[in-house]
Amino acid sequence: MSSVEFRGVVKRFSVEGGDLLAVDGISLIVPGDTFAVIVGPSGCGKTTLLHMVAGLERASEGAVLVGDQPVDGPAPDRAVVFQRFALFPWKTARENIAFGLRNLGVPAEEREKTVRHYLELMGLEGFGDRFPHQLSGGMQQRVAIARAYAVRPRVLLMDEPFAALDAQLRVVLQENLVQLWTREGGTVLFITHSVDEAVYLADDLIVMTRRPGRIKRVFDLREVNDRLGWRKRPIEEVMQDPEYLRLKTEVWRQIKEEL
Amino acid sequence: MSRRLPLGVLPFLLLLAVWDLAVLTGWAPESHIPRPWKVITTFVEQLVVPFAGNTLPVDAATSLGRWAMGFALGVLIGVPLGLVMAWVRPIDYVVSPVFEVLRFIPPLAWVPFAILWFGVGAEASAFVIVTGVLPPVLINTYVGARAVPRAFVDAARTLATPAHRMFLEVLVPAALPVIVGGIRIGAGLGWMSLIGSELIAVRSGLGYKIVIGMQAFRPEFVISGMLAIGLIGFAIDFATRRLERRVLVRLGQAA
Repeated sequence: MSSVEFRGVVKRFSVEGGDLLAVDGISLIVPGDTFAVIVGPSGCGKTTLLHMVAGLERASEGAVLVGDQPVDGPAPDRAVVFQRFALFPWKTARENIAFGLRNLGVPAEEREKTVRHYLELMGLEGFGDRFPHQLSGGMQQRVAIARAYAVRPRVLLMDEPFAALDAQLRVVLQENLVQLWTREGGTVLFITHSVDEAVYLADDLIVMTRRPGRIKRVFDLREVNDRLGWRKRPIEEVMQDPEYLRLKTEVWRQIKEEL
Repeated sequence: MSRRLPLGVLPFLLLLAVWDLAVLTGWAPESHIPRPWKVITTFVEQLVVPFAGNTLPVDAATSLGRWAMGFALGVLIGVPLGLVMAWVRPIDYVVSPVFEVLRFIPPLAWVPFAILWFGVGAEASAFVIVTGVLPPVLINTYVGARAVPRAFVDAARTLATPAHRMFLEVLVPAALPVIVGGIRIGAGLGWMSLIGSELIAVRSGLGYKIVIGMQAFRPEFVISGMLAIGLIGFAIDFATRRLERRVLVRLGQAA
């Protein structure tokens, strides 16, 4: 799968009374098939980074590359799971998941098969014909994840996908996502406020500074993750692991300096 | 509903009682306002006996036909124009300032102009209805289209949505709840504008009936005409409310 590379990326927004420097000189390589998590204080430009990979925003300077190709506008090889409101309320769960596939001209039969596959993977059997407002928040976000995965993106971009959910539901969806990712693979760029979530999910954990956003530190958690088999263990057990707690404290300290 | 109905009738009975009492005590002279029962019998009588050329149902049908035409025209102009104004900047810049002034001219003020342009007749009447229907339809369409959440558009863009599908399956359904609200308001305003136009611009319909009743010094005809106007207006609002509700349900925005 594809790597994501930021090459000296700067992003300025024009606001009343001048420019706002949102992101200031980000250089970073996320190798293919990596679960990369970006954490940082509010307004540090992490969503902007994600939007630039999605092609929804353009870098003011520098370049964003996905699999060595410079990003030029949005395309389904970089699917996005938004924080909220992004499911089409007038479409059923099934129609939402099938939407991208229809745009790509996937034949109806194959489309139906893919939709069924993801409904099942996300534990949504029997809910395909419900409208989003007839689903719980957790189910809605599962549909959104299924919709993004269904177009088989090279990179999956997730913008605080669980922020609107309550704590218990978050944990369930985190586990769910890890299972899905273990099975389906791909490069994931995941943004969150939650240090817990970040340490549990990440191969690469990227901590950003306060605005203007720069990279403060990158933690490589592959080794510890493999050694302790976090992804194969229930999350509540992982959260008791001394190594996990130590890392969490360390990441917290980094973020706290930026608040 | 069935439990609320008797309560809803009470205010009407009270109104009738006060009204009748006012006439009986001579506080309101009967030459100016008839007793309620006389209005009711006139109303019922007019269902079959013509007054000012037509029976009440025929005049009501004439008025409703004009309303339907003006309403359809107003929606057919207002919705596309509102969408274009919302999504095409230059058109917004040209149309908006003009519209912001025009929309404060009440439909009745358009009547003389309508007669100058179209003469006395159905076209003049339809024109006046359009001036009533258009503002709420246009404003709501514009606001609804401008307020489409960016997340919907962003999500669609990342899913390779072609332009026609972006329009038909994302932008329009996202704006539709607000648009339909405008259509409902426009339907009611259109009905009220129609009656205004019929006072002057045509020789038939419920508004015309009222004018003739006034000229003949027959207040019972005036009031029974007003009653018909109120009842039909209520029916229009009821129907468009149901339509709005159904649209919202279909769009997954209401249970």
